[in-house]
Amino acid sequence: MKQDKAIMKAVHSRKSPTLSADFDSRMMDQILHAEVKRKRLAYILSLSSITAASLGLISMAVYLLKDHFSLNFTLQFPAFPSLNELISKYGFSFYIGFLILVLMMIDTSFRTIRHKRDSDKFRQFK
Amino acid sequence: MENQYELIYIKRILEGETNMFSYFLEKYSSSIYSLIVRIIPSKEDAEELTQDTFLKAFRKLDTFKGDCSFSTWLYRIAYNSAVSETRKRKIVFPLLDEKMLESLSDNEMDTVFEKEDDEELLQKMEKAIDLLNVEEKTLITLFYYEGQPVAEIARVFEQTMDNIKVKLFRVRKKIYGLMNQ
Repeated sequence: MKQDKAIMKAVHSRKSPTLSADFDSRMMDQILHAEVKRKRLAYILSLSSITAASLGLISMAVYLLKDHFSLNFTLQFPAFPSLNELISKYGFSFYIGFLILVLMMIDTSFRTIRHKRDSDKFRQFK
Repeated sequence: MENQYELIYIKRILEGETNMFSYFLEKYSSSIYSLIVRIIPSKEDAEELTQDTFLKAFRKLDTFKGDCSFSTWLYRIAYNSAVSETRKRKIVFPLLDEKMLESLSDNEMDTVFEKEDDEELLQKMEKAIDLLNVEEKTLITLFYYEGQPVAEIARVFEQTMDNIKVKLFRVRKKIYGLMNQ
């Protein structure tokens, strides 16, 4: 293919309108809005999944407790095990819950530190 | 090198630094707009399509693999948006008889396309370019106006380089045919 000087000139001589002056800022507003919407949707989805999982766990726990203690809510009063045994079971559950909470807090703080460090690096890089 | 910078920017955006997208807006909004405005003649509609292109790019940013430059990826989105828009509006482009195109002399065509000082000829050529379809206009704009290499254009159209070369040759012939109508 040759240089096609005439096509080059014809294409370049066409007056091309320019974007409106505030295009970039308007576009950026839309992008930020889209991001907020995306985050909100992700939050709702995660909340729904956590709720569904919690409900599932609760119903499973109720079923297991009922099965374990052979509870019959309508006909007879359950024969509870001794208080010490109950305390040790609930205590263990609370211990696990507490452990998860501590681990999550540590994870969050590490993430925050890492995010700050990366942002600083990036600012230097920029 | 530039690609690497852009990949870093994209990574940061995906990690939550949404404001960094302004870098891509500043850098590419004009070229994307100038491509679209040559396909969709209305200034307002072209601006709206440019907005759509950037919004789509932002929403699908996680799918950008970095196997081509970011501009090529944006051009692909812009081209696809323009194609859908012309389909929606049922814009019809003139067709030329293949036999008539075949009968045109390649040598004469080459000579005409080198005459850059003939104003009448240039005006005819501009009118002929206006009658091209979306794909042809995009090819012409990317190759002659944006100065993109054939390899990059091939990526925009997701076709082989040989295909693009053949298409460019056919578009030249169509322009020449439209000029002689």
